[in-house]
Amino acid sequence: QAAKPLRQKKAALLITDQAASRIKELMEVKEDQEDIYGVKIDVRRRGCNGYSYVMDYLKKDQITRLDEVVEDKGVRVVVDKKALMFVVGTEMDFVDNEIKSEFVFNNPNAKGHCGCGESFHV
Amino acid sequence: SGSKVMAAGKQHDESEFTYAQLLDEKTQNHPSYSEEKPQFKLIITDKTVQDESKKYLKIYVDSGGCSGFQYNFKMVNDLEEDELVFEKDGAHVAVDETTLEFIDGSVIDYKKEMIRQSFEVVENPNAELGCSCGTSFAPKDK
Repeated sequence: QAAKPLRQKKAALLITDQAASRIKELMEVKEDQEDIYGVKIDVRRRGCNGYSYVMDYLKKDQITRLDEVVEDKGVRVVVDKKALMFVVGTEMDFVDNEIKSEFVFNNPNAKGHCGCGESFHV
Repeated sequence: SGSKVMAAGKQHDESEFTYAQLLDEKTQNHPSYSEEKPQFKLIITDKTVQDESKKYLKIYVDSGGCSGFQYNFKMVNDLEEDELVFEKDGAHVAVDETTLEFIDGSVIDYKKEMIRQSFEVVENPNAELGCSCGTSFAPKDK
């Protein structure tokens, strides 16, 4: 279970309308969705610039105490405790065009990123 | 139907491109052309079909990225002079001659992940190193 905040605090992650509507779509297409609590954001040490984001579905019993649960615009995004320090204050957006559709993380902590934009360093 | 870049419907459609399916004579006269080797494979997405005004998925290689060269994709209506067209099930991929030398034999895929869905060049036999994100590569010495 995620820890209850002692006082009102700013959300660790800002979810744009586009990102929220894409997460809703993802929740709808997932089979056995009643088990699925939300989507999880984590970072992995990979890519040419340090870290890159990973996303997956998450069940409620997979949430640990220090994970941050962000509930906004009708969706739940769980930020892994290991990723929290890297992504706090990040805007999660979704961009859709004729070549690709992807989640984009506008991260104020990132000091630089890879040419393709997939990996970043802090 | 030249304007149909993608198969209709919700399901993504998997198509293979082969040199045997080349559209024009010019392509068949290209030095890398050979009937024995089926070459390009493309998984075409329903994202692309929504824009039927654009005719071709153009793939071109540029310098850039962390491994030296990178793949770029664009939907276009018109062909450049040196572009060759590969066709499968009404989907058209345009590749210029220089790019073809870099990606000949590759698989053109539409990768679907939760975080990202995009066209990618994978299994490129001409590439030695690739960036983890897949958009950049280093060519083998010939």
